[in-house]
Amino acid sequence: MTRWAMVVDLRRCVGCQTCTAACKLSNGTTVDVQWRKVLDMETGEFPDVRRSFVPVGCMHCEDPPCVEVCPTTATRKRDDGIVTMDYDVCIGCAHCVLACPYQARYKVTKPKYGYGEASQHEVENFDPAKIGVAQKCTFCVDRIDDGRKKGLIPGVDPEATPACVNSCISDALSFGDLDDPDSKVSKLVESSKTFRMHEELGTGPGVYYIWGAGS
Amino acid sequence: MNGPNPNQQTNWDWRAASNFIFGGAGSGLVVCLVFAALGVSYPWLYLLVSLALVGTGLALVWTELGRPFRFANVLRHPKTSWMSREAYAAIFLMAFGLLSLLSGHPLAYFAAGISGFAFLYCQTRMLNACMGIPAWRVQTSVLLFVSTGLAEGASLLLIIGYLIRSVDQGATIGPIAYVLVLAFVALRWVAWVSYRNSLLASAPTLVIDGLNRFNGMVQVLGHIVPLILIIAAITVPGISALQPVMFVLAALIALSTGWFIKFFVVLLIGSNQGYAIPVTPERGPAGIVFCDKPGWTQK
Repeated sequence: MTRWAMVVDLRRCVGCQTCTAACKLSNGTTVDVQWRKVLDMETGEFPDVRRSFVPVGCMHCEDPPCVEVCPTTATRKRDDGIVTMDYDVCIGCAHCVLACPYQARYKVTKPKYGYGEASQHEVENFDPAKIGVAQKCTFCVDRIDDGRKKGLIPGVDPEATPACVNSCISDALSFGDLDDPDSKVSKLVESSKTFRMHEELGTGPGVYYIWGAGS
Repeated sequence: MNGPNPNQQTNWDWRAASNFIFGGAGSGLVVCLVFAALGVSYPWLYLLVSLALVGTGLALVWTELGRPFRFANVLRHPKTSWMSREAYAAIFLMAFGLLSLLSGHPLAYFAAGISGFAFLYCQTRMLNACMGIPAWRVQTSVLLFVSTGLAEGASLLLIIGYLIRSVDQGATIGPIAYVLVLAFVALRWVAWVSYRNSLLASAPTLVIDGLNRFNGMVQVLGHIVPLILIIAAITVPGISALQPVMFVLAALIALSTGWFIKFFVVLLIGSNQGYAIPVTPERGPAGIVFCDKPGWTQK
């Protein structure tokens, strides 16, 4: 079996938002929509304060609440763990948006542009199928599937790897098959102290956050 | 911890809330009509009001769909989706409702009542399935929304009954209508206290603030006052002339409280989960900090 997963090394992330920009460019998301974003979180009180940069997005959960509530089957989970969207089936009820505890889903009801009128880039990237429906990160599923057909390895070969992971300047983001003990993500999870966000909710997120060295 | 705290959801607006408000009251009414064993004059009139309320709620929520003309797709996932199940229950309710109106047969009314309860329950579980909204996902929200739907239905039964009697003096009002109001308002009171307590234990501060702000009004005005009115109307001697006024007033208060509760839960304390990290990353000599959830009262 294959279980695609992402590992985020919080010690490495510098909050540059390059992953956010790469995702927007790659997926043509509109203003106010960030399938991948980086939170800037402050902890503690002066003078004992910590600052953490936390990339978030769809967690591609093992037990995704969005799939359960979807009345149309537009949201599905593949055998390899990727949670997908079928824009042609979705009715835009937003139930999945409210079921997701990671605020990873968006519903855009009308086209919106950064500077009033659409720029050339926005015109080229505009996808009418995404209007009025739920949308979210797909782990760049098309890149993964196309890459695999060419014999490439997602997480190793950039052509088969999610855009955000490719773009990360500090190697904070890693992607790969968690069921493969030799993959980078498996080794990172094995060798590091990790947590998954809102783990108490039982969704089984497919994104692991490294916060320290050693298991 | 500062950072991206929980905030009020905006994806379901007043139109979605209206589906809970009108749909809950309408389905509660058809259930209470069956509870009252159809012991009312003009039962078709009650049923018509019930179907109109449910239909209004569904029509309003339909306008909120991003792709309204694909609405039939809502029926595709009854295996796990409470929204799909609600849609099926609505179809059965409308079908049996229509059959009842055409045939007047008690069995058709009974089937409509069962469908009405199914609709109410599915609607409630639909809200409860929203794991991203702490004030909705608690199990106590199920009893709250079911009990208020029934309380609103019983209130409507009483109100419509007296409205009919004001036109036709000989009309019979559901013989146990006021008992139903009494029972379901009491049940909703228990459900409200239980719901509030379950959230006070752990919820975003936005939710706690909202609950504390309106708790007194909901409990005293929304439950204690109508209960006192009904009990007084039944037990205090020499006020039989005032009885209808007291019953209707109690029902109006119970109905409006139910609608307020739904508006409140969906649109005022429908805060999302927010983000949280249990521990800060190890970086340099500074060490780590274990964190609480930002914007929450408890872990």
